[in-house]
Order: sequence, then structure tokens, then C-alpha cells
Amino acid sequence: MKSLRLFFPFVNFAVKRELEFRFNLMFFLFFDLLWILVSLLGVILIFNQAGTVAGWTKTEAILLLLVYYLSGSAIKSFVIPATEELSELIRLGKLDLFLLKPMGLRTLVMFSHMYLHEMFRFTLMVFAIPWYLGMNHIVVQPEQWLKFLILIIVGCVGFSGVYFAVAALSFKFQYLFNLSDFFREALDVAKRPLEIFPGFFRGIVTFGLPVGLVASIPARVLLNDVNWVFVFKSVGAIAVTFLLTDIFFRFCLRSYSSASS
Amino acid sequence: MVWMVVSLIRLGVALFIWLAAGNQILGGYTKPEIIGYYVIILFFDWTLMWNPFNPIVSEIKSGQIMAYLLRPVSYVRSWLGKEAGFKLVSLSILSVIAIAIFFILSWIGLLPILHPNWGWLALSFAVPGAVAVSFLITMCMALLAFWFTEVRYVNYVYWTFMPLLGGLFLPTSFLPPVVERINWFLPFRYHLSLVMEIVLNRLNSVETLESLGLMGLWIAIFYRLYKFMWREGVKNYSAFGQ
Repeated sequence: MKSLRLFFPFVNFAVKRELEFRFNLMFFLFFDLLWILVSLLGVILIFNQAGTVAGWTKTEAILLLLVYYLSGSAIKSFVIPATEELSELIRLGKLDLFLLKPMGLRTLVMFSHMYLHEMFRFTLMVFAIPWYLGMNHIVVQPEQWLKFLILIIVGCVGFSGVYFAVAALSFKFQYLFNLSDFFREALDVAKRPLEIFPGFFRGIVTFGLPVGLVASIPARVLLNDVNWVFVFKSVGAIAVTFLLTDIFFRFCLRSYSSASS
Repeated sequence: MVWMVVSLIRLGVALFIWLAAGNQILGGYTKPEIIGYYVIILFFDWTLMWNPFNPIVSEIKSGQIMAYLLRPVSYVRSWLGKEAGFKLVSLSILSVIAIAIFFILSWIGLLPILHPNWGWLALSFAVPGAVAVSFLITMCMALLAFWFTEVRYVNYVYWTFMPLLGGLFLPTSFLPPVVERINWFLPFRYHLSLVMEIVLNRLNSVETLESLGLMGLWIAIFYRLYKFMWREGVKNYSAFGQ
């Protein structure tokens, strides 16, 4: 509850920081839109040649891309900048300041380093997904929306757990160069249908990386629906992943030391 | 190492996508050919893309570039040397991965189709040409930091189009014919796509010569631009307290 109360002042600060360089922000938003269009073009080009990919049609793949941009932008706003920053704070010994605050370390790093310009994409997708579904005459029941929402949240939480654990390796290795490239590339896997991966790899992609729940499975929910048992199993699996990554994070945190910061 | 993992993830995903494709012929490539394309491009992506954009911008913005300007060393040559060293080291690690990929692909019966009649002569021009295009474009974009405090968006814009038009994301034969033809005259193709087209024997001799000529033209344009930007940039530049 305390975290939630503190969330809004941090959002306020993040908005002001973004608006400090308005031209910069406008420029970013324009090219972000361009980037989405180029990605859509990429999907169209692939499906024009391939016909279908692992049973996914072009229409379905575009929906997958839109869902990816919805959850991916939330992750890029809150999780990736924070994990990058965590590595930097550890290296420079500036983490002391965060550790001394009466708040969860990861939550505090996440709140203080959120980049809200990515939320432009998120907002765009909130409107684009229902519009696209309507345009393609795909009817989605309220129950499907609820499952979709649960899976998206679970996917983002799972992703954050794993990537904070990876970033926690900085406690052991001081500095992990180009970790952000790895995070972004791993997240990009979520753009692809989960069915392209054979059994073992699919398990890794879904619950190990874990990006299957970021876009592919929620998109499948909108298209075909899944039963509640699957949703609960996913929640359980991600809860276990999150718990394990949390233990690992705390274990690594014990190695932290700094002087004169 | 992280970049290598990133490249391998990219390669793995591309392979799985094309293996799962419904059609057997994709943009004029058979499935084994397209797999070969992505395996080969992994190496060319590593060896031919010389992009020290961020460190150069950082050196200009922080004033660290003064250390080079005040000494009898060439800044551009020093970066060429650094990049060459980096590529050499990474290539040696990549060779091990290459052998592993080769064996895995042959084990699962997907040995990439490599044409033995590569246009070696054309490649001997195209490979250093691709390095030159990549490096000079990066230099021109990075040198904008002499005038502007924020230049990363120029790089961002460039890399929005580069994967699609440069052949990194898809072979350029996937593009609609009109766009593919226009792309012949844009610099993106001369990063990776031309080298790939020569390796996979997709061009006849006239097209190869025409492409090499256009590549040479882009190198000349970016070299002149780089010289101009460097001269004017250094004239304009000031750094304090170094």
C-alpha cells in the first residue's frame, strides 16, 4: 500500500522529467510510431512470403505484434530501465542510498527510473487492439478480456522477476556490459508466435526467459480463448519463477559492499 | 559475450520462424537457403558492422576527444584500430560458435546451402566496402555531436530502417519490387545485403558491377561528408577543464 502511495509522486516526477525536453519527446514519439509501422511492415512481408507461420495467419500475427507492444512498452517503461540502472548503481556504489530507504529495493529502483515516453506506445495499443479486433470481426467476450489482463500482468511480473535476478549478477561481477541489449533482444522474442519453438525451447521461452506470457499466450486468449485451468497454472508457474528469482536476488544482494559513497 | 548471446538468440528465432513457415519457397529462397542466409548473416553482422556510435558521441560530449585533438594521432584511425581489434577478438570466439552451429545444422539435416562458385573477386571488394559504408555512416552520424547535444535519435532513425532495408531482418528480395529497386540506390543495401547477395549467388555479373559501383559512390559521398564534418566540427568545437 505504501508503494502504491509513493507511485504517484514518482509518476509526477517522471512526467516532469519527460516534459523537460519537449522537442526531444515529440521527436521520440514520432519515430516510435515509425518504428511500429516498420515492424508491422516486417510482419506483412514475412507472411506474404511464408503464408502461415506455425499455424498463425497474417491477421493473427499482427494482433500478436500489437499485444507485444502493449506489454513490451510497460516492461520497457518500468523494468528494463530499472534493471540497467541497478547494475550501474551497484558498480558505482550508489545503492546504499536506496538500501537505506524504508521501501523494497526493486520497487524503489523501478519507481525512480521509469521512462514514461514508452507509455505512449502502451496507450496507443490500448486503443489499437480493440479497433483491430473489431476491424477483423473477432468477437472477444468479457471473460477473455479478463484472462488476457491476468496473463499480461503475470507475464510482466514474471519478466521483471527474471531480469532483476539477471541484473543481480552485477552484485557478483561488478558490471555486466550491454546487459540491456540482452534484455531487449530476449523481450523481442515475445513478438514471435510461441508455436514456432519446439517443445523444450517453448518451455524455456514461456517460463524461463519468460516471454511467452508477455504476448503470445495473451494474444492466443483473444483469438481462441484458453480455459481457466491454464490461466491458474500459468499464474502458479510464474509465482514459482518469481519466488526463485526473489531468493536469488536476495542471495546476491548479500554480497554488496561499498565505501565512501 | 552478451552481444554474441544476443546474435545467437536472433539467429535461433529466425531459424525457428522459417522452419515453421507454411510455404517452401520464400522470397525466391528455399528453406535451407534461407536458413543458410541467417547463419551467414550472423557472421557478417559481426564482422562488417563497425558502429562505434555511442562511444564517439560520448567522447565528443564529455570533452575526452581533446586528448586526441591535442596529440599527433588520427582520431578516425584510432577508432578504426579499436574496432578492428574488437572484431578480430570476437571473430575468434565466433569461429568456435560457427563450427558448433555447422555441426548442429548438419546433424538435424539443415546444412546451409553455400554456393562453391562465390564471386570471390566481387566479394574482395564488397566486404571492405561494406565495412567502409558502415564505419563512415556511423562517423557522420556521431560527428553531429559537435553541433547538437542530443544525437542518439539520428542513430535511432537510421536503425529503424537498416534491419529491413539492409537485409539484416529479411533478405531484401522480400521487399515489394518497387521498394527493392529504390533500395538499390540507398546506402542501407551496402551494409550487408550486397555481400549476402554475392555470397548466395543472387546477382549476375552486370548487377554485381552496378552494385559495386553504387557502393563505391556511397563510400565516396560519406567520405567527403565525414571529412567536411570533421573539419567544420573541430573548428566549431570547444571543451573546458580537460
